[in-house]
Amino acid sequence: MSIVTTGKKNAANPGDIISPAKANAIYNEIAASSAIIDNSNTRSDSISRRHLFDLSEQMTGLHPTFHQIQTKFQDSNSGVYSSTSYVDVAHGGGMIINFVVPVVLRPGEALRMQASLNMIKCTLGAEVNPGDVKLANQYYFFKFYGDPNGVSTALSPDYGYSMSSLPDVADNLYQNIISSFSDKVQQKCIVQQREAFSYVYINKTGANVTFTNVRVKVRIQPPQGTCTQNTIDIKEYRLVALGVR
Amino acid sequence: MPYTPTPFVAATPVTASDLNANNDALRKYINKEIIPADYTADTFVTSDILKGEYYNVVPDHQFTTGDMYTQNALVDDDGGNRQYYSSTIKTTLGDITYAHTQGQWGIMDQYQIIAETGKSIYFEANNSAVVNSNLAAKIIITGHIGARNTSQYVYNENKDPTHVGDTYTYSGIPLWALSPIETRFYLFYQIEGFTTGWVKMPDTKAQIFGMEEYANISNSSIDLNETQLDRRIIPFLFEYDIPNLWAVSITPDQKPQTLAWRFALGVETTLDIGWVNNRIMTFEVFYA
Repeated sequence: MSIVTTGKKNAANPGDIISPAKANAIYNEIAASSAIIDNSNTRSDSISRRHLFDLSEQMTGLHPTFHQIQTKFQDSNSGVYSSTSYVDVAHGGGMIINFVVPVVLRPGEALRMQASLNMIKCTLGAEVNPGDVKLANQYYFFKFYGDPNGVSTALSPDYGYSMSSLPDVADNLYQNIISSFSDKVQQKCIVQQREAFSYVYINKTGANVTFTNVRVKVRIQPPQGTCTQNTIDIKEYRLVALGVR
Repeated sequence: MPYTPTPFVAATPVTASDLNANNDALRKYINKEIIPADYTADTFVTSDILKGEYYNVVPDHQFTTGDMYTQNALVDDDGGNRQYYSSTIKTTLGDITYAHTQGQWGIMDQYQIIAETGKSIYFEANNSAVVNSNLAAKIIITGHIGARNTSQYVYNENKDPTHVGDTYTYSGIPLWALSPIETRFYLFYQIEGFTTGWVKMPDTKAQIFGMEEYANISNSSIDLNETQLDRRIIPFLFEYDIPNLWAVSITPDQKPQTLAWRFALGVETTLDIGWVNNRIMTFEVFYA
């Protein structure tokens, strides 16, 4: 509360003497409030865009209403991924955003992440044992990671995709006909598919959480039985992160 | 910095000039001198921020902290709200003998902008009193389209002329087979008065293959499990820094301005007919 309420009044009648102490009290009360102006001093709907700090004067990426908005993208390199545990999408410089200055999320603040990438190829493993089907385990997953307070941590759930739209059935004509939306392997051409996912991490702790980076990781489902590992090739990607206030 | 009155001295008459000085300082402070340090941290709430405006005609919102533009059409694929694309719009038709590399059936970087996927945005220029060419805003574009290819009447023209009648094979896919039948989508932008045409953002590439009506393909031996990807839901994500640009024609009093930016999805297809039905595009502007 910074509203000025004065307990002092100057003398009001002609000839009365204004005491320096009273005059000082009046002005000092105003001075004290002026250092702690808050929302009690402003009218509703009084702060417009012109009052917000100008980002162009400090090229740190900080924003008056958002901590930061940063992006990472590339379109020239591709990478092959086959790990059954989460690894970085590392090709083309890596699908990682290193914040210009660390994002300090206060309690209740959030980090918004969006990712989009182009999956350009699936390669099915070999079926060594006829009883094991290479398409039985044919999912792959993406996940947002970050380093809250310096500790690499999975932030989001798994975002899962399939190499064919119907698992556990291989080389079936019926499957091929109805799988036209997402099937990547039952084709005679290499089929590229753009995939996108997003997540909002909310700081639900009672303390500040500091991020210096966010990234996207990928893993491939382990193959069934003796089948060799399926792999995917990723090319174009873009990652966007916002620290939300 | 906070208002700082000149103290009156005890047992000394308060003069009119002293009072005026303090009043003048107070007036000056209120009028111009309040700085960020005078504000208490974490006190201003939503109601203190100027309320946004909603444009009722188009589904756009202009908020104090930034703008939200949307361009949405959610429809069934019933033909009533399709935006069609066709390779027949290409201006260079080329040599159909090698139609897989030339002609309207080949990929030749001629794009058709898809209707109702775009926005023209006039960004507010930098609000600084200092004239500079730094950042004015950031924009994040997200969305998706539902796209579908159909009516590929010229399938055989796409093939290597030395391999007429060939079909795609699982092993040893020839290079010419990889491009002719794909349909490529990109996000584009252009700046009015600054760029002469649409600029493609390579990392937003998405594509679909194939066609719907195989019956139109004569003498084809391809089977149904070759290219069934005739339809797709394609997501888009884009983030871009909007700089203050210079209107060079205005001299000598140049002011930074952002000019008009246009964003849209474009497609290069090698098919007679394809279309986009669902269109969800959201443009978020964060002023700097």
